Amino acid sequence: MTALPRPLSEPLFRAGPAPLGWPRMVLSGWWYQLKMQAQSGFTVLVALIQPLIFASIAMADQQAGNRTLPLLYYALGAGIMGIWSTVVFGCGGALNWQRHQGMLEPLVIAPAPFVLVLLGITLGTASVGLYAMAATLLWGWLVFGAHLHFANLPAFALAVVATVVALGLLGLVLGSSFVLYRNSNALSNALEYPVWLVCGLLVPLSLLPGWTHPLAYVLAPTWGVEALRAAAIGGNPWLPLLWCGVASIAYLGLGVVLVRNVERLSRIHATLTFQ
Amino acid sequence: MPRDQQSIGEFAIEVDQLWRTYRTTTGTLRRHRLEIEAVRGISLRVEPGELFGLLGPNGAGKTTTIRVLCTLLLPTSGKVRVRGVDVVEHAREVRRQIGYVFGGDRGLYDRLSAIDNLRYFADLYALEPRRQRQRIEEVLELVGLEGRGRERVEGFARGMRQRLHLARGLLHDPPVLFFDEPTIGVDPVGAREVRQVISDLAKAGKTILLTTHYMFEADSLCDRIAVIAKGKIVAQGTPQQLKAGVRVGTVIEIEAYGVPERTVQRIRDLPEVDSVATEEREQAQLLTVQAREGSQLTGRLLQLLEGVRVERIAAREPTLEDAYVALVTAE
Amino acid sequence: MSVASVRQEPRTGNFWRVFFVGGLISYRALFYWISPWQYIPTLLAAPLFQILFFVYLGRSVGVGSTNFFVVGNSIQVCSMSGIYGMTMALSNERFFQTLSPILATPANRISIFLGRGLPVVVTGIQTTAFGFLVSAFLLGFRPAPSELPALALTVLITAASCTGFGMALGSIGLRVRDVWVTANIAYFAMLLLCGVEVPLRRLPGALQALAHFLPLTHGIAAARLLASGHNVAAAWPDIGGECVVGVAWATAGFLLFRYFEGQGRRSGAFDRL
Repeated sequence: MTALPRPLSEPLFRAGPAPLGWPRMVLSGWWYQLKMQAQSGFTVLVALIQPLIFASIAMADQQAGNRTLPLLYYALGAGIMGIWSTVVFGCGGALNWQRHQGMLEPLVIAPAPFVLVLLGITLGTASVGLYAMAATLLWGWLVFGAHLHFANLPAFALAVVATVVALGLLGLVLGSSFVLYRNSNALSNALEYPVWLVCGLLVPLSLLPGWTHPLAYVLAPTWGVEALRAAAIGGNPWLPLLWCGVASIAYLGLGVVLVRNVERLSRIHATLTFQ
Repeated sequence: MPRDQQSIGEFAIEVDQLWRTYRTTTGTLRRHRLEIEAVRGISLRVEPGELFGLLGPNGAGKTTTIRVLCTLLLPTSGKVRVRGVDVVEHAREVRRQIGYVFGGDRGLYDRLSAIDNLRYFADLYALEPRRQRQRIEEVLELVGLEGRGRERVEGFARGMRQRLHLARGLLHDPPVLFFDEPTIGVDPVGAREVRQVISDLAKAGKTILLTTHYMFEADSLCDRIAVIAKGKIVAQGTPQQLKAGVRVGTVIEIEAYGVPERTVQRIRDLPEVDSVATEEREQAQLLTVQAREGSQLTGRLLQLLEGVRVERIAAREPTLEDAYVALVTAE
Repeated sequence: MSVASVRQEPRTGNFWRVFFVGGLISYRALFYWISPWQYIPTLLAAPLFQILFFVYLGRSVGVGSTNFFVVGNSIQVCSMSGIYGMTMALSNERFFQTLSPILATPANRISIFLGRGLPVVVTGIQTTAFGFLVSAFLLGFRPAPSELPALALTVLITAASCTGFGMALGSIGLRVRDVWVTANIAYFAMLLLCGVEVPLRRLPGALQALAHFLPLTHGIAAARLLASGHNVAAAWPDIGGECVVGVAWATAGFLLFRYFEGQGRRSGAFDRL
């Protein structure tokens, strides 16, 4: 092995100001995170058990009850429940997992703004939740005979992307706050049911006490599931999509502040690598 | 600050009175605050193109020091500059110009291939996308992993992981490289290769700072060494200077069974004796007595050790390792 | 200390000592949820919201009543401890490689095995009691006062039978590497199949039959009867059914435990992950 001289012909670094490289940093993180998690058939399988069971419960109860809302309503709701589980565990625990892998040091030392690094990770994790969505839809169709019609397919596709992005950004907020707690798993555990309930994933918001509604409005799953249902079953998907976008921007802003805080704290308290 | 240039006369690495204290809390019910001073006023200078070694036992403060230099930790006080850039104020600029290579099994994505690991970091380092493939091939070849790029890291042995760490550190061709215990846990053949690469990189003009607790490694590789113990630098200089600093004398090694502490103290109290180091070796103890030149101690030592079963007693010339041990075990 | 002065406890005394003290100590060592930071979110907050979630779902689809979901879910949550806690108690021993030293002792196997179950049952009962309590506060749940003792007995038996089921899973975990997948599947399958959220008669016949072999099914049925004021006599068949199911699973678990112990001795497979 000898040290090779660097060729003079082409420059090693991207020309231009730093922000030009930022989209690629996020997309790269997104891609590789998704690749890592989606490849483990085992992980995917375990991640599907819960959404399928909840989808089954909801659809079985629908069939036993008044059937005012179509099965697709519940299939979509259960799918978003699955994405939320992925986000609250995967993104909440993202930094702890990276630390466990010994990856925090190399990632922090890279000159990329750390918020972009974490964002790539949380977007990738949120995307894995799409398996749950696809599974609940398929399951609903196969086992319960749900009608999989999409009133507005382009809007539906857009809503899927918007939901994943919004939840990935919410995951950024979760990831940068959970890292301060050693027992992030327990916290994630405690946040599954409350969010499922408050965001109206299986129960219409109108049935919930009014004081919970503001909470629902600031959480992305509420708008995501609204948009998806409107695009699939019927209704106006554009207003929920707009709110999804607004929430996403708010999460990004909050995430930037939180990540900066985490970076500062970790450099002071050496919690990057010390358990 | 222009990427490749540096003002003449400036050091590549400057550390001025670096202090680093950790505050931890212990206990669950009544929490006590503990302050641990890991680094206590270290100063050093590394010239561009120099291969500098930070040598010391575990817990001496080497890793803490290198982490501060790499912008992973903030100093409690003191000034640290890499290529003239302050590591606290302009961390991102420093990060563009350094590579950090640490040992161990972690620090890589097991489920991705070697190339994927490098590609991800190539994006984080803002390498020109069109150049990335070529650059990745170059570094893989440099570290001897050509042809293994598509394999997943989970199948890599420790030595191969170490090489991939090195490849990642070299990806953006940084002028300054930090190695934290680069050969720890690596088999002798692999370790020798790692040292060869480090040496070649230094010859190619890179500034290198490495930490190690292997005396011979620092001795053979480094242009200059700083010996660090308990958070302070206890000696600094070229290997020749350090060896010259070893006081010419005699070293007497005693292998015995069950030497009482007061006997060791009595040996220490002998006027000709400079220091006594004890080492447990399974059932026996190894006492290393450093004494002034010409002292005829053997008889008196055997007298003091009466009643103790002595396996072996031998006198020899001091080595650099003795100097190192004396330095790091001194109070 | 001379060898002669060390006396061995009489066999029965040792049995109970290992049962209670040994069980408690191993519980503390292995039960991951013991710290309040884990216990409160996992065993108090999550069950509370679970109950609310399904009560509202029921209202939305027009199935069952508030009491249906309150009783179903409050009792179901004891299976969290029973299944996960028990699986932890046995499988984690293997993880920490402390299994061999324990099996090398002459202590009675049953007392080791069952001793672990006791703290797990207690935790399960606590979780269920908490569920009923918050339901009383938030949802106006009022079980028939005359049947409260019988209801309490039902809770105890169901918690014990879930623990027995957990023992079987935990014993499997002594040999199988990914017992947690099985535990997960079992836990969620029971949510669907045991009449917790979906009335049993709505399930296909085959699944209904399966449900009768699982814990929770009979216990929840009995508890629903008692809570709505039916006489104990009406609930006895289900209470008895839950007992039988619980004992059967605990026995299966113990036999598996002994079988794997023997196998482990022959092949040296213990402590290998």
